[in-house]
Parts: sequence; C-alpha cells; structure tokens
Amino acid sequence: MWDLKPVDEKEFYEKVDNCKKPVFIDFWAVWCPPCRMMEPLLNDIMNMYKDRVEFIKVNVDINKKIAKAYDIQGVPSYMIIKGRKKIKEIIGASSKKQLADLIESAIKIIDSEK
Amino acid sequence: MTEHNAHNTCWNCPMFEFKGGVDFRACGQSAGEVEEGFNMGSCKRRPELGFFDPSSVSFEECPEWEKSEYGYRLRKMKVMILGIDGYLGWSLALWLGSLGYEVSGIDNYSRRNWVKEKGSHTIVPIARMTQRLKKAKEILGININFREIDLLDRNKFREFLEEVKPDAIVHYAENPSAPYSMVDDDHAVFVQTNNVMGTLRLLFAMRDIVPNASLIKLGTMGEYGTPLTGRPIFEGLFPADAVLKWGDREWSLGGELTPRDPVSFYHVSKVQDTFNVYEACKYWWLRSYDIMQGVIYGVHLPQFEEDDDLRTRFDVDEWFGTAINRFVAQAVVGIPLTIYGTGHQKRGFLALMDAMQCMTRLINNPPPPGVYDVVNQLSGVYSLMELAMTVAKIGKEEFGLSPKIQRLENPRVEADEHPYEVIYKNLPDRFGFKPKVTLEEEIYRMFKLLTKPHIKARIEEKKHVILPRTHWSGEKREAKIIEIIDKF
Repeated sequence: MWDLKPVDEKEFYEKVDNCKKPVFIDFWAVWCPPCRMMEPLLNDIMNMYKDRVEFIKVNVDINKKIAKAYDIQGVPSYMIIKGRKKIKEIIGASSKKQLADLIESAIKIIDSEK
Repeated sequence: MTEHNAHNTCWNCPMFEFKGGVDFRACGQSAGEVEEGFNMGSCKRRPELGFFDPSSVSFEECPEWEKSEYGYRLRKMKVMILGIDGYLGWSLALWLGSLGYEVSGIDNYSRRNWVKEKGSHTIVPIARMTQRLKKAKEILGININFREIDLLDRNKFREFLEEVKPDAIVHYAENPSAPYSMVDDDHAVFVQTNNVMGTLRLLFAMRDIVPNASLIKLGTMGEYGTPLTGRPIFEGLFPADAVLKWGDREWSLGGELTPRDPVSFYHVSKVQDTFNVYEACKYWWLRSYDIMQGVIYGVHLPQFEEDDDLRTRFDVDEWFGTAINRFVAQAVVGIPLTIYGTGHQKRGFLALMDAMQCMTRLINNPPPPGVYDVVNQLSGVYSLMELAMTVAKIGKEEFGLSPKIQRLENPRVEADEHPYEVIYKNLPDRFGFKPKVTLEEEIYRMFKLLTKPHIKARIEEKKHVILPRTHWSGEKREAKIIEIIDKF
C-alpha cells in the first residue's frame, strides 16, 4: 500500500518550502480507481527514490487550493516540484518506468539549473 | 481481527449525502468551478452530526455499522434482489433475510417459463411464490417484500424502487443461458434485449431514484473468454503495473478495462452490460461491483433444510443445466455424463453457499461514488473432464452407482485446449472471503438430495432434454458421441 499520509495545506507548504530535495507529489482523489490502483507501485517508487526525493500525497478534494495552484486538471497526476516551482508532471496511471523517467528527467533539469 | 471493511468511511456509505464541495468528474477530465474548502455532507441516519467531512468517520467508529461474520454491516440494510425467483435470487433472499437484512425483490417468473419452453422443469420441486413467501415468514421469520414486475416495465419498476429505496441492489434479473441465445435469431434478440435493456432501465432508474445505492451486478467469467496467449485473466481492469509496450515506448494499462472475448450472444449481452454499468458509474457517480462469476453448483443452504417449500430451483436441461449440477443428475438416472469435445476446457467454479458469502461481503462493502470495480468470483478452476471424473467417483463409491462419461462433439464454438490463468484475489484479499464448501462435500450433498425417489423420478421424466441439440452452427440435432469412458 501507499504508506504516505495525505497532507493538509499548511503541512504541504511547510514541507515544500523547507525541503532541500525535489518533491514528488501524488495528486489523488478517493473516488478515483486508478489512484488506488497505483498505490503499490508508488510505494516501490518511493522506496527506490526516497534518498533523493521527498514524497507527498495531496487529496485534491480536500486541498482544492493546492490543486488549483498547480493547475491540476485530472487525477491521478504526478508532479515534481523544487521549492514551489513545477518542474515536470505526468497525468494518469503510469508505469514504473514512466515514473522513474519522470523523476530522473526532473532531477536532471534541476541539476542543470543550479 | 480487524474486519476487512473497518476502515471504510462515509465515502462508502449509502447514508451519506454529499452537499457540494466534491468535484466529481472523470479521472482526467478538466476540473470545473467548485466551491473551495472541505467536502461536506450529512448523514441520513445521524442528522445530529450536521455537516462533516466524509473521510472523518470510519465504519468501525460509526454506530450505524455493526460487526458481523461478514465484516461491518449497515444496520437494517435494505437489499433489493432483481430476479428473486431464480436459483441464486431465491437463495440470496433467504440467506440475507436470515442474517437480518431487509429483503425486497422483483421477478416476472421468466425462468420458470423458459424452462417450460424447453419442455423441462426444475428437478428439485419449488413452490409458487406466494407459498415461498408464506413459508419464509412462518419458518424463518423473514418478511420479503415481493412484487411481480418485469425490469423492462419502466413505470412499475420505478414505483417499487421509489417505495423501497434500497441501499443495495443485486441484479440477477437476466437470461443466463448461452445455448438459449444461440437457438435462433428470435432467441438471440430476446436475450440481448431483455438483458441489455433491462440493465439500462435499471441504471437510469438508479440515477433518478437511488443514486447512492450500490449495484452488485452479475456478470460472468465467460465475458473474458479463454485467451490463447496464456495471459492472465485479470479482475476486469488492468493492474497499474501492467504495461503496453510498443517500439521503445511503454504505457501503464492501469485501470483500463481488460479485453473481453465472449463465447455466445448471451455472453455478448453481459459484455454490453459491463460497458453500460462502467459508463453509468463515470457519468452519474453510481457505484458498482461487476461480478465475473464462475459456474455456481450445489443445492445446499441451511435455510433450505427447514422445509421443502424453501428450496431453490435446480435445472439440468441443455439450456439451463450447468456442468456439475447436470453431471450429478445424469449419474443418478444412469445416463452418461456429457462432456463437450475433449473436456479439457477449464472454467472457474463456486459452491452455492460460498457464492452467498461473497455476495454478503460485497453488499457490506459499498464502493465510493463513481467507482466501478470488478471481482472474479470463484473458488477453484477445474477442467470439465476432471469434474465429471470427480462426480462419477463419488457416485460410484458413496452411492453405489455405475456412472459413465461420454464425450460428445462440441456443439459450441470454443477452444477446448487452452491455457487458463485466472486472477481471483480481490474477494479473499480485499473482502475477507474464505471458501467454506469443498467440491466433494457439495457433490455429496447433491447426490443425497437428487437420489431421493421423488426427485430421481423428476429427472427420469425429463432426461430427454438433457443432451445438447442447440449447435452454435444453427443445426438442431443431437450431438454425436465420440467416446464412452467407463473406467476411472
């Protein structure tokens, strides 16, 4: 299972603003079957990347302001941000390779901007 | 032990009424303008809670959900069974009624008429509905709210739905026979009209009258066919780690419907239903379990033992008789057990009482709004030859019979040599299902009942309608015998 607890708005910005690593956000909803289906796979990805990336889970129904701020149009959406800046995103259920590619390519972009 | 549904919340509960703040839309659909703030709603049973977040109360915390043998269940839950007079419908009515659910149901007795059309009858005699209801009340203390209604009768059905306002609807009200749909164009058109249009009427009626009720819809494993590539038969939807590779690219198939390959015009009607239910969940936020059920066999529920008028029907004719049930009847009257083709066709099976357990667990676990979910409902996979051998062995060793098995040319168009890897993890892993009835035990019970003289006489009377005469090619003749097997 996707072990992360969803965050509220305050926790979200605290984490994002204070985190030195890129942040991977899982935008999800209770009523979204693919979101639930992705949980075991996201857990694997988190275990693979937890040293290099911070993981956060955002319920779009509870955190509408965050969803709006990041222009979330569909769920599930997976996004990498650094600070509050969006680096890269992918929409819809995704394979492990697609998620790994998302993270690796986002890290490259972040490194190139240093 | 934590119950399988203890951590479900008001999202799953039909009593919760959303009052705005929820941005229901298809996954991937652009977000509309919605109110900001938390999702809010109220509980029909606990108005004193006012408006609250549906994620904040779980089943184990809510006094309206009580612990039971089959997980937490909603107190006084109202379950409507469509097709309540049938083999499964009547069984489920007595089963749920005994557990304390408020049971209602409709039927237009079409199964009785279809079997009559074949020139057959249920070999376990069943009472008229009025007598069934009377006995259920007198002996089991169950009040069943029954109406004779055809699901296609829009107004009558809607009136009844409005009156009962069920929390869950079990949809068994379909013609369940592949050969019946292959008799001729009239039968094929009838089966597809009855099944597909009935379900469509139901979906619209649910949208308008009981949008929060969960729909437990009977599909069939036959929707999937038997993929010759040997790929697993997933539970309706691909898991997230299933990928489609093309060239050097790949995509997740997670959440998409898996391919269907139906094996008769009846099975096509079930596939069409699958799409209609899937769409209704997407458009209107209905909630449904589509059950891909294996072949159900058996005669036993504790409720049936109380009185012969409480028994459920049992058909063995070529249209409505299913594999194990038919084999036992054939063994009892000394006609060879019929296998089509090689008999190496593999199928999923489930005993009647275990099917009732599965249904109860699904009813107790309504999906959140908008969720279309699928379970493959079976407890074991067997080849037809293996089953015939098991029936013959029990008949011989325990009941002194001398059964034979005959292989017939296959009247159907189907692979009889095929891989068959079925995934059926949802019911045990997510809903706590544990099969309680072994194949041998239920076959033994069937022999015990079917060898009773008055039942044996009823099989003798109709043994001429057991052998298949309906060929997928359109021919009407008895299938040729390929081989008789009398050594096991």
